[in-house]
Amino acid sequence: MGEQITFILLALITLLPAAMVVTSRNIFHAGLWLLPTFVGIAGFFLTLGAEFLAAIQILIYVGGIMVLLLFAILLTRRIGDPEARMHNRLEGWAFIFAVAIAVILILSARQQFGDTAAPSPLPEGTTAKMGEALLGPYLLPFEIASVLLLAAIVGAIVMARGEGTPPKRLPPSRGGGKR
Amino acid sequence: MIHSSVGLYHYLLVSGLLFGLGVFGVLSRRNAIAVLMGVELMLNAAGLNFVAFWRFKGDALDFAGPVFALMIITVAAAEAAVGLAIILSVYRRFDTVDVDDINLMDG
Repeated sequence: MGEQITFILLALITLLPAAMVVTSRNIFHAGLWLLPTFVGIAGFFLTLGAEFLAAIQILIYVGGIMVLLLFAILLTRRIGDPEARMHNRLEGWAFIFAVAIAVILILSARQQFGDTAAPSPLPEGTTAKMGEALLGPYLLPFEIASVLLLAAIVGAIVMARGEGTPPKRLPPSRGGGKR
Repeated sequence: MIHSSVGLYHYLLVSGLLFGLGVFGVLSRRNAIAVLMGVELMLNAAGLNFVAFWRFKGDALDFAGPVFALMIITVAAAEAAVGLAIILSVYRRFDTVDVDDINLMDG
């Protein structure tokens, strides 16, 4: 019984804020609504016995990605402008398409996995086992992930740095030029 | 179809709804950062699916599911960093981050 209550609470704190993320008129509020969604997913990871993933979810999503998104929002103008349109003109079609995808996913899941047995018992302490797996059979994806992160960091710096330092290239009298 | 305990289908239900919300955000939002938020929701739904399938269907001693979910989180972090750098340089160039207004390649 407690398991069900936990699941329903986690589902609510995941899905209701997620709905606010995609519908909120204030883009900054939408970014803040991501927080309970990410925490709810971390809670699901905990109930599924993946404690390490739950901790990583909080660290990376809440501590990294959400803060990064909020910083980027602060760099753009018209944050809380109620006049600004937040959705494009295809909003209705987008809604129909999203509902269709969700219905297809849920119906196929129900057909295929509607009656599942209880999960197999987990070994004690999945974190240590997962560390061994990462440095054992899954060493290659682990290393590829580090290369990917390096490429992403370098690429992000190159793109965000902009087009060099204008004062050295442009003649001081003219100024301006291409932004 | 009523179960006494929480099963795989319930996790798939939550993840399907979360994915649908993400799709709606990606398709309907005008602000490029809000589009990225929709992508993050979809990636979270996929990661939840991986862990749920590992728990209910997989071998408890083979950690392919959680390892793949970890990879998804890594890719999401890289995607957020690169995506926001792109949005930043688009903002410098066009003075807007509305994806509707960025139509340089619209013939």
